[in-house]
Amino acid sequence: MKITISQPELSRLASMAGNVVPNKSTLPILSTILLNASGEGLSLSATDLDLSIVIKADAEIESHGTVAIPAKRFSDIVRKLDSVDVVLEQKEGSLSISCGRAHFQISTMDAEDFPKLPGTQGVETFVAPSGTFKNMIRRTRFAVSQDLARPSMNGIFMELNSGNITMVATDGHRLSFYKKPEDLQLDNDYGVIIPSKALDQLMRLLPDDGDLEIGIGDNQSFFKTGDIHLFTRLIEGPFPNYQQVVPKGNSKTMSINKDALLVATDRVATLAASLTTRQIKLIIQKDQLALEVANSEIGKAREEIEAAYDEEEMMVGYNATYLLDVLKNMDCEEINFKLDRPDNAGIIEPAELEDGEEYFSLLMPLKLSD
Amino acid sequence: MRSAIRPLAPETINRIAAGEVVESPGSVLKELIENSLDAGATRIELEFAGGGINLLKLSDDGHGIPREELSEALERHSTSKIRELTDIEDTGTLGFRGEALAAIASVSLLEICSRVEEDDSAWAITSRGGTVEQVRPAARARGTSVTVRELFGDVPVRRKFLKSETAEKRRLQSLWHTYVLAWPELAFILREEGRELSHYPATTDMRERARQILGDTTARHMVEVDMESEGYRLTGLATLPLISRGNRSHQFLYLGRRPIADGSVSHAISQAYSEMLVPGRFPATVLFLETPPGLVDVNVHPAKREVRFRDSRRIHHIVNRGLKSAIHGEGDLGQLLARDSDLLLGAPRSGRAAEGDAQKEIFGRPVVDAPFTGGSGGGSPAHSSGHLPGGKPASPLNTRVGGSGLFMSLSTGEDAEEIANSSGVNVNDEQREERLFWQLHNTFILTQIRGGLVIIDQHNAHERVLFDEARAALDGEKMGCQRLLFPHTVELDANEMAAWQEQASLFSDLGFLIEEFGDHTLSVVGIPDSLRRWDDGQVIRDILDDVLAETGGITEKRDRALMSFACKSAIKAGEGMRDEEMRHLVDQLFGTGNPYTCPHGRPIVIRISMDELEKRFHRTVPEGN
Ligand SMILES: Nc1ncnc2c1ncn2[C@@H]1O[C@H](COP(=O)(O)OP(=O)(O)OP(=O)(O)O)[C@@H](O)[C@H]1O
Ligand SMILES: [Mg+2]
Repeated sequence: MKITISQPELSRLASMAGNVVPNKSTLPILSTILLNASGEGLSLSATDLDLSIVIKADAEIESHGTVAIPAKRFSDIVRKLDSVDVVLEQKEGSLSISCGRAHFQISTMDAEDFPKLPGTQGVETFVAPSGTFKNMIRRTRFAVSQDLARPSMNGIFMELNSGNITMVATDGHRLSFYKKPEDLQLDNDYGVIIPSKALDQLMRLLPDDGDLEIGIGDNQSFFKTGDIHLFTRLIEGPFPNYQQVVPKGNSKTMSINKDALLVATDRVATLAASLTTRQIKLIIQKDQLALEVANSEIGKAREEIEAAYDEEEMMVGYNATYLLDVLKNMDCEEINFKLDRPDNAGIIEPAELEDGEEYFSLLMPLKLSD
Repeated sequence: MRSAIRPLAPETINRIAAGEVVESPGSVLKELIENSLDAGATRIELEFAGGGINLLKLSDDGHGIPREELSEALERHSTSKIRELTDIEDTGTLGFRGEALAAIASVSLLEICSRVEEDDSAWAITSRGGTVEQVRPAARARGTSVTVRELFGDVPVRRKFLKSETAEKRRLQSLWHTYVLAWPELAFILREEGRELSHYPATTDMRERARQILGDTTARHMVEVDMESEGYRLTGLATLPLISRGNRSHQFLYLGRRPIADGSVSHAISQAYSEMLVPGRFPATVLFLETPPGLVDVNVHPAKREVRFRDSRRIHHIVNRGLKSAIHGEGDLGQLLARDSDLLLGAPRSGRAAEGDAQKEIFGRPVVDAPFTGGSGGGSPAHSSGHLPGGKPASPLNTRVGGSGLFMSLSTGEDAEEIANSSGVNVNDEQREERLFWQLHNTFILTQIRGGLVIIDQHNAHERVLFDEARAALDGEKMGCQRLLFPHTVELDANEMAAWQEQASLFSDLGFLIEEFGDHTLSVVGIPDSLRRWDDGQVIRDILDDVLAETGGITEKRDRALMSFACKSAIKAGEGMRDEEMRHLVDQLFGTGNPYTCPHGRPIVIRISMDELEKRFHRTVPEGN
C-alpha cells in the first residue's frame, strides 16, 4: 500500500475512527485502526465489536494494501504533522509516514486479525433528516439508565413507522419522550434499542443538515452520513412498557419560565450535592414556587420564583440532578409542570410545541419522610 | 525400718519421667503427631476409642523407621533428630529429646509398625509397660503407625488424674485442630471407633483451612497479619472486631509452626483489640511467630508447650503492632488525622520526630478477600523445604502482603498520570495548589496532611457514613425514598419472607417502599435515595439473607441488615468521584463516630508519614528535625 493524503483530512479521520477504539481491550487488535487502500479508495475502520465505524476518504492511491495500525500512536503522529500532504507506505510489518521532512516508521499488526465488520445487506434502509435525528437523541439521551443490571434501559428506544419517529429513554426514576412526525416511507414498523455508546458517537458525527441513512436489521443497525458508516449492535428488548406508566390524568398545571426555574434550581441544589441524597423540595402555592434544600449537616437554602398556578397547594420532592437534567434539555421559554399528587409522577413539557410534535419528561418523586 | 539406697530400675526412671511428658491421651497424641510431622508426612490419620485412653492409633505416610532402628526409637534419649546439645538451637524439627516414645511406651501397650521406602516389607515392634519385644514382619505402605493402648493401665495413680472420656475426647479434638490449622498443606483424618469425625483435605490456602476449622463466618472476617521487625516476623490471620468470642479458645499461636502458649502474646492480642472489643470478648487469631536464631529457647517445658523468649517485650510489641496494623491499617492514626487542624494542604511538615516505631513498619492494608497460599508453594510435602534455616519450622504464610505493592504503583509514572487524569480535572500547576483530594484508580482517595499522606478507601469510608446514617434513620431521621416508575417484584422463599415480615419496619425506615404482593412476592415501589446498587431487587434478598445468616438478638440482626444495606449503597471501588464528592465524603467520614473502621471492621484510612517516604527514597532525615 502506498497513498498520499492531505494532513488535515487524515488527522480528522484518524481521530474520528480513534473515538470508537476501546480504551482498554483484552484484544490488542481492537486498539488499531484498519487502513485499506483498494480500487474503491481509502477507508479507515475501527471497532470495539459492539460498535464499528468505517470512513471512506479521498486519497491518491499508488498501490493497494491493508494495514492495522495502533490507533492512538497513529493519530498522535498525524495530528502533529505539518498541514501538507502525507505519504503512507506499507513496509514489512510497519507503516512509514512521511510528511515534508518528517519521517516515521511504526510497527503495525497483522491486518488479518482485524474483525470482519458487518455489512449492509438485507436490512431495510430509509432516510431521515440528520438534524432532527440528532436533536431527538440530544433531548432524550439524559434519561438513559447507567445501571448495567438492566440492559434494556441502557439505550434509547427508537420507534419508527411510516409517519413518526419516537425516542424514549428511562432509568426507572425518570423518563424522556420525544415524538416527531416524519415521512419515512417505511414498509415495516420498528422498535429498537440503540445503546448509549452508539448514541454518543452519533451525537459527535451527525451533521445538523443533510440526510441520514438508517438501516435496521435483526440485531444491528447502521447509520450512514456522508462518507461515514456507523454500525452498532442493538440492545435486546423488550423495552419496558412505558406507555402503561405515563400518567394521563395530571391535571394540575403550573406554568413557569424555564430559565428562571433552571437557574434557581441550580443555585439551591448547591446544598444537595451529597453522595447520599440529592433531594430538592418544590413547594407549590398559588402563583408561586418555592425551592428548598435542607441538609441537616450542611445547612438550608430556599428560593422563590413566580409561576402561574391556581390549584391545590402541594409539596413535592425530586432528585435535584434529575430535575436539572430535564430543564437543561428543554428548548423553550415556558414550561408546563403537570402534577397530580405528591406521590405520583410529575410531567414537564414545553408550553409550545410544533404541530404533531410531542415532547415531555417524567420525574418520579423523591420523598423524605419528615 | 529403712530401705537401702538403690539405683532405680530403668523402667522406673522412665515412668517417673513419663509423668512429665505423658499426662493424658492429649499429650500422647501431641508427641505422636509431632513425630509424624517431623517424618514429612502429607497425610495423618488418627483413630481413637474411649477418649483416647483405650486406643490411640496415629498413622502417617512419612519416611518411616528402618527395621534396625525400631527398637532404638523406644529407648530413652535416642533420637534421629539431634546429635549434640547445641543442635537444639538449630532444630528445625518439633522433637529433639528422643524421649517421647520411650515415655509413652513405659505407661502403655505400644506398637509401632513402620516401613521405609527402600524396604519391601514393613516391620512391627511391641512394648508392654516398657518391655520391648522382638521385631516382627508386618504389612503396610510407606510410613508409620503408632498404636497406644491401655494408657496408664498399670499406673493407677496416673489413671486417676485423667478426666472423663468425653472430656479427654474434647481435649484430643482441640489439640488435633491446633495442628490441622497450622499445616494446611497436609490432609488430616479423624476417626472414633471406625466412624469418621472429620476429614480435612490438603489445601494451599491458609484461609480455606481456617474456614474448615473456625467456620465460614469467622474465616471470612479475618484479615491477614504480616509484620516484620528486626528479624522477628508475625504472620497469620486475625478477625476483624465484628467477630468475637466469649473466650480465648480461638486464639492459636505458633512459634514457626510449633503450637505454644505465651502470656505476653495473649496480653498483646487483647490490647490490640481493646478499643474495639468490649471486655470479655476475644478475637479469633491464628498467629505464626518467627524469631531471629538464638533468641528463643524451646527446651524449658517438658511438653514444650511453653518457650522462653529472650526479649518478650519485642514479642509483645510485634504482636500488638501487627494486629493493629492489620485491622486498622495503622494504629495511632486517630491523633494524627485530627480533622481541620491537620487537613491542611501545604502546611509545613511538623517538627516532631515521627511516631517512634511506627516508621519502621510497613503500613499495610489487609487484603481482606484475597486468598493466600501456603508457604512451600508447589504442593510437595512442606517439610523438606518448609523448614527455615533459622531453625523453627517455617510458618505456612510466606506470602508478603501489605503496603509494598501500593508504594510501587505510586512511584510509576503511568499511575501518576492516571491520578491526575482520573478526576477529569485538568491539573495545571496553579490548580494543584488548590487541590485537596486525588482519586487513585477510582478506588482510593489520597489527601495530604501535615507530615504525610493519607489514603482513604472510598468504599469503606462511604459504608461507614451510610451505616451511621442508616442507624440514625432508625431513630427518627428517615432516609429519602425514590419512587420507581416501574414497580419491581421480588420473589422470596419462606424463610426470607419470614425475615422480611420481621424486618419490614426497618426497610421502611431505610427508605424502601414495599408492598406485600401474595405469599412470596414483594412489590417494590420505592427505594432509598442513596442506594447505588439495586441489582434488580437482589439487594433486598441479600439484606434478608444477612439477617438470616446467623442467629442473634434483635439488635444484632438489625445491625447486620444495616451493614448489608450500607455495603450495597456505598460507592464501589472503581467508581469515579468528583472533587466535591470526595471532599464531602471525607467531611462526612470524620463526622462519624468511628472514621477508622468500616462497619465490618475493615480499615478505612491509612497514613504514610513523610519519614516513611523519605526512608523509602533513601533520603536522610536530619536528627530531631
Ligand atoms: N512417625 C514416625 N515416623 C518416622 N520416624 C519416627 C516416627 N516416630 C518416631 N520416629 C523416630 O523415632 C525417634 C524417637 O521418637 P521420639 O518422639 O521418642 O523422640 P524425638 O521425636 O526425637 O524427640 P522428642 O522426645 O522431643 O519427641 C525419632 O527421633 C524418629 O527418628
Ligand atoms: Mg518426638
